Amino acid sequence: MKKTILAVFCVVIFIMSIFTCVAHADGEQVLVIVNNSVSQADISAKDLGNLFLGKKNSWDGGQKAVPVTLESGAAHEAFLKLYVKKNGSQFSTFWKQAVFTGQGIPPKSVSSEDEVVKFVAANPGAVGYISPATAHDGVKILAVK
Amino acid sequence: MAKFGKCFAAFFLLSVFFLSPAFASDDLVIHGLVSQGYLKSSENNYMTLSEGGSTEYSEFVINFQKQMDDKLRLGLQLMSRDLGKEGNNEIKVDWGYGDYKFNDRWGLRLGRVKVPFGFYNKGRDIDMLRTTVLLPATIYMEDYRQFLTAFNGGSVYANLPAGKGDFEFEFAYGGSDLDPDSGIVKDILLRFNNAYETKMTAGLQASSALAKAKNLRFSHVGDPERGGSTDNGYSAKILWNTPVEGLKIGGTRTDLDLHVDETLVYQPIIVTNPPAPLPTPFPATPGFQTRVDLNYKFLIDIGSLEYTINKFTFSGELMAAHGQQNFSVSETPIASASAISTAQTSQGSYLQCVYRHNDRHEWSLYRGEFFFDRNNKVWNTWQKDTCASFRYNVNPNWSIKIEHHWIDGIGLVQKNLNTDFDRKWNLIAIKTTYNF
Repeated sequence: MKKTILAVFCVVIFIMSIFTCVAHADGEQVLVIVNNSVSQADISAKDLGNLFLGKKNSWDGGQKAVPVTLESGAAHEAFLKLYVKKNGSQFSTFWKQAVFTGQGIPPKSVSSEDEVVKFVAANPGAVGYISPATAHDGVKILAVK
Repeated sequence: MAKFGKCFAAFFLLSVFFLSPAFASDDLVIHGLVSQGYLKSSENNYMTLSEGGSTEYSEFVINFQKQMDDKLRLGLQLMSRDLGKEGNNEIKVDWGYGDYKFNDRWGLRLGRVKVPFGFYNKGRDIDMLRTTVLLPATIYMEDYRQFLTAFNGGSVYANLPAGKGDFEFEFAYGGSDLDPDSGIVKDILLRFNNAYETKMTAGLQASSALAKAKNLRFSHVGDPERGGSTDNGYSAKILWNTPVEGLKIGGTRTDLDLHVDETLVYQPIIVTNPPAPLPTPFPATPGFQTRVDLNYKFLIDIGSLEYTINKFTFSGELMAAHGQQNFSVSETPIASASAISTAQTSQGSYLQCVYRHNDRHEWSLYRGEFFFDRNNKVWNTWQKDTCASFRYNVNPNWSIKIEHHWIDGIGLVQKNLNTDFDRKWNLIAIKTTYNF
């Protein structure tokens, strides 16, 4: 009985794995935007990811970095996949773990790309991401090396 | 502990609400969760009176955090939990500290800090962080929770880049009080009592006329005073986020001394059911009271590995726990029973595969093994656990889980909850959690 249940479980997992879709994303799917006060013109992909994981809290010149995230959407998933190396669910779990074990406070999260632009434009040191088609007046584009 | 918690809570609230607004750069952040579980075992009560099915398995957590300035963050988490006879929904400080981050690489926490122990100890009470209801008990033992949840002390942590990966270090130092009614204290006392009664009975029978009395034993009949604590110890963890995406390798060493002080009352009895008084010509010897100091030294090493690829996460951990128990007894009538020492090396391990099919459905399968004494492997001190779990996320904040355990052995079964034991048994665990 025990072996049968384990075998069924393994077969289910195997079948599911066949249908697993690997999301592909590239840098053209997202723009990284920063507040005009940020003097840095570019950043490495690893450092950018660390800003959103709370491992890096400041820009190279010492200014405090203030990341803002989207709650969901294609730009959100593409950004996380490219630079944070997690999907939306893993990113959410990472920050829940940080919150409930006292390791940190998650970045501010907003529901639309327009809100990301507004937040980044209004807060010194802010950094966020949007789709290339979204209007982004009043902010700077940050190049990712 | 209660005093510490109240002091820290008062300090935290005063700091957050009454310090100069100039320090308050961000909002107070509040999160919480409510969790309710159900345990049902085919045999053997496990953590609760699970043979009859038990809903005494719940948690309520609320935490407050505030970034005071660019470097200082204050946080406090209150928890009330119920697990059988433990917790009983008493509100306690789970963690609470000031976190000062010198720069992007180094930081310091002072207060009541979570203990780094394996990959998942810090989040062991936070149900929604994992697919399974129960973490593999072969590493994350319920009995260890008492002294491995948090230290009253501090920790130093670091994050050091290393090529495409990075190293994370944490060194926590401190100790904690033990709940005298907790399972670990009761199980240590039970182990002591078995050894002490055997020595006392043997000593008594060898040294007096009472040896002629058939079935004479020296029995523990009461414990009017009990207390427990840990000496300050440390737990150090290193984690390597390797250049291979999704691959983490870690190691932990924990060194801790645990103390239980107890006043015990013993009495000679004739073993019958119910116990009978001593027959003439032996007058009933009055019970005697003695003071016992139980010292349990732990040195625990864990190696950990986790690899996430696409929707799969594979993980495994291996633990060696060196334990030495020294029992010293004052005012014992039998000199040979005044000191008892035992030692063993316990071994625990597990391998787990988690499959996250989509945002709603997750599956897990793990196999864990624990041997209380790796040089003496017998079923009543080992536990081998195969567990299949399913998690359904109703929405991002609400999850429901169900799992089945096939278990061989009783090495991790709380002896104080059972009078008889079965080797092969099953356990079903169900839990639902809402977090905000």
